[in-house]
Amino acid sequence: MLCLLLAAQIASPAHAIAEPGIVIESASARIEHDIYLVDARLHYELSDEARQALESGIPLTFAVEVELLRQRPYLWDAVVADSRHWLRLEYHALSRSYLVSNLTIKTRHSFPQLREALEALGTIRDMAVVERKLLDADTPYQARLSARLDIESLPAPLRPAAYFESAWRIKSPPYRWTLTP
Amino acid sequence: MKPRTRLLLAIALLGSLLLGSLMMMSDALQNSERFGSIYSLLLVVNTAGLLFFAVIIGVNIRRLWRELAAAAPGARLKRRMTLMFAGVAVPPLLIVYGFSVDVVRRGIDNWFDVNIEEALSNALDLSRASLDLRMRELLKQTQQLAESLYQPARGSVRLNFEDLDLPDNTIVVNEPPPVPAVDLDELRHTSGAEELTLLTAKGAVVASTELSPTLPSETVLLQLRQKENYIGLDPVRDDRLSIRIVVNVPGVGIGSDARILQALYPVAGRMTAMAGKAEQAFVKYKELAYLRTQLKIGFILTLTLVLLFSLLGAVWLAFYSAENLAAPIRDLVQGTRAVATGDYGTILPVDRRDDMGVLVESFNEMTRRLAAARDEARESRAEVEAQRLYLEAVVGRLSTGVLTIDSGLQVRTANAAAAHILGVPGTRPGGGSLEDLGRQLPHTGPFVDSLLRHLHAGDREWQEQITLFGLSGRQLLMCRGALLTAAHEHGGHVIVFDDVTALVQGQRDAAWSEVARRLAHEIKNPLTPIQLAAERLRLKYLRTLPAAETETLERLTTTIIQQVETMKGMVNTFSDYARNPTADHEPINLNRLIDEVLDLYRSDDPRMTLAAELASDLPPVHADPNRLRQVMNNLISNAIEAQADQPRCRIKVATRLLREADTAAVELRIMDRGPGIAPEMLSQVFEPYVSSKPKGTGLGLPIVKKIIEEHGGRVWVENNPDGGATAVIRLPVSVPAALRPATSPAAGSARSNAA
Repeated sequence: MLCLLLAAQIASPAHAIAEPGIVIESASARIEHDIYLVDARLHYELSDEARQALESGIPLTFAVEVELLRQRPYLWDAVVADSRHWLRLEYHALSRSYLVSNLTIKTRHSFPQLREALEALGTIRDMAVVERKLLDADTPYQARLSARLDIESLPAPLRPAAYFESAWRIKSPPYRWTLTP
Repeated sequence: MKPRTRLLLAIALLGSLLLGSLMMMSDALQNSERFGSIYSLLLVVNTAGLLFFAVIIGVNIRRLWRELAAAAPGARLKRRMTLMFAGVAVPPLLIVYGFSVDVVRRGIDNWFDVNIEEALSNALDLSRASLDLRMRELLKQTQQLAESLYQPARGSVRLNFEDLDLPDNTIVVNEPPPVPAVDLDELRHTSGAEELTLLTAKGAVVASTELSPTLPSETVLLQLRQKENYIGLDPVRDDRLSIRIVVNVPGVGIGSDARILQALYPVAGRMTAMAGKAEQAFVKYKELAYLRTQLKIGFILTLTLVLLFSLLGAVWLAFYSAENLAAPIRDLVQGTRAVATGDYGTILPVDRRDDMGVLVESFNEMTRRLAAARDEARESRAEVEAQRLYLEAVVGRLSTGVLTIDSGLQVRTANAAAAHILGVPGTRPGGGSLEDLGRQLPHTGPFVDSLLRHLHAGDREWQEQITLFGLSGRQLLMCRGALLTAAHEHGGHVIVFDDVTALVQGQRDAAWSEVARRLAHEIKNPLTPIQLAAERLRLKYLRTLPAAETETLERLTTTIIQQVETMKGMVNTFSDYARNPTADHEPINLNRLIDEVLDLYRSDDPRMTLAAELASDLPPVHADPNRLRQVMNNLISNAIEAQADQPRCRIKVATRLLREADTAAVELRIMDRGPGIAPEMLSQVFEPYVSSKPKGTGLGLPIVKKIIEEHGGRVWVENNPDGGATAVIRLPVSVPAALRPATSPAAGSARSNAA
């Protein structure tokens, strides 16, 4: 019965409707113990190819990056600090479950359904960026959040194709907001 | 190190690097951990390397194209060799490539088999089934645990809330459900579970055996709320498998207050290992199956890169070898062309020790020898030229005429003296045939005829004395000819001649003078005693002899005295003849001189007719007027004497100017109507004591001849066709060669001889 349920949910056409990619729905930063922490909600939408690869046992690795920028006149923005999390989504065939691992802070969770796994993947909480004392209190800073599928983590045979096919170009447009210290 | 070697080394290094990276790429494709991470980089590096190779070959092709278009030497050879080398290398490569691709395709396809897939799938299912069995047992056990939680009969069960480190979001239930009757830790021990957690229906932890329990997901909670239990495998912890069982705790709370129990059981190590293996194999197989196309593409890509690398390498090597072979040939061609245009300074670089090197070395040796030979030839030619100039200078300074005539009777060379003696205008009669010379200068006729005669006769050496009658007078040439041997370039003859006119004349004059002087001396000496004796005889016996005999004595002595007088006159004339010529020549008008002389002979004698036909354009003649007057007197007296027996005496004197080439002569003709001269006498009339006349000294005409020759002229006598004889005198207008003061050594010697 469980199998049936899973199968029904995987086969659900709802996934195929949305455009593959990553949408950052919200992001915010707060200070706790003098450290900037970022919380964000991301919506991952996998392409059919990516999902097929996932179910064939190929792990997908995503990079979520937060950069702290200082704007400069006439020049590109200076990156003051950046923090990157590597998140891995994989399918466990024996348990028929999806595993979401954060390779940076070494956590792992299992989810019986892909939807839940993607949701967990899209929930960023307490991502430490920089200590407040390293920042200038009077300067306005901007934070930029972006997420993308890391093609270099795919198996070698898949990489050349992944670089050239849009189905594998799963990434978010950068999400910027101004920090309020 | 030479640039060519450096290039070769660089290419070899690049080639080995490319080859190495291709091997790494192939390794990476087989899921090697070593090079997997740099696969993309390897791909880029290889492509760039191949592009570099392609650019090098492109440059080579372009260069070859240009060389072909410019028809550079060696270009066609290079093209042919390149095509040949490439042709040898490329087809086998393509064949190997084709087979390899096929083998890769088939090989990868062969990995996949429905049976294997099914077996693996079954193994996985079997693992699952085996786990399933265990899971159902555990479910039952967990349900029993859940039921036992709130049964008070079981002694002192106490849940220690203070020990729990609840997360922040744990909902603390206001109306606490009945406390579990049993201790979870104890339960865990008895049940053999790893972890036991009591939660609310919303997922808040009520109690747990762990400090940070692994919470069930929303889906599980949803399932529980629908009164379903959850059984699942959990691979979360340390890659070990756990069995997660979540059940509703019966009889405690309703809805959100309901309690659920989650238990995590370990799967036996052996079981985990086996199931893990089965899972791994299955996953690996599925991954490979999924990547089948990409793998093929990847391998074929690698193969293609290897092929391209080999192809480009082979083509480049073909270019390199062809260039290597063609370069010395090109050098040789250029060198040969340079030698053909006369540049023997070409030395080709010898930078190899093979046959080509030997050939180039030989070429260099050849050009060196050619250059040496050319220098030698140039030197000897210069030497010959110097010698020729020297000889020419020597011959040019000779007073002897030297003439060379080739076998075609063409005048090859002639020195200045030859031109001068022959009276050829300009200095060099070279060029033109011998007959042309005779035609252009008629007075050289006897000379040319004599030469031709000897040449035609094929005389090897000859000598002849030739007399020419040019406008400048009589010329006596002493000619010597010799056949040039065949060793000489053109064969032919060399003719050497001297103008001996003055010499011979001087000798003859000297001889005659000597004869005359002696005769005069010998004759004159007894004459005076004879005359004196005769006069004494007459004086002594004239008075003593009787009158009758007196007359006889008178007549005889008178005859003796007269004859002695006559003899004295004759001896004086003889002395005159022997006298040396005077050199007081001056320009005179011949016509006036003739008029003066004729005036002496004009008389009232009706028998006598003197006619003068004088040309008005006569130039002055360089001569001694007194001597010329004597010539006129002698000739006119002769003419009168010749007509003494005739009823009339007619004499005509004519002058005219003769022009021939660049010389001019004045001709004087004195004609009489006498009996003429016997033909056999014509050539001797100018010899002394040759006379047809009954009286006279016999020296009239010889003196005429002597004077005219002293003046460089000619005199001869000819019979008129209508009776009578004519004495012809030709005097040169220009100064005769023999009398020219110190112009030629011949003239000088003649004068000294005459003196």
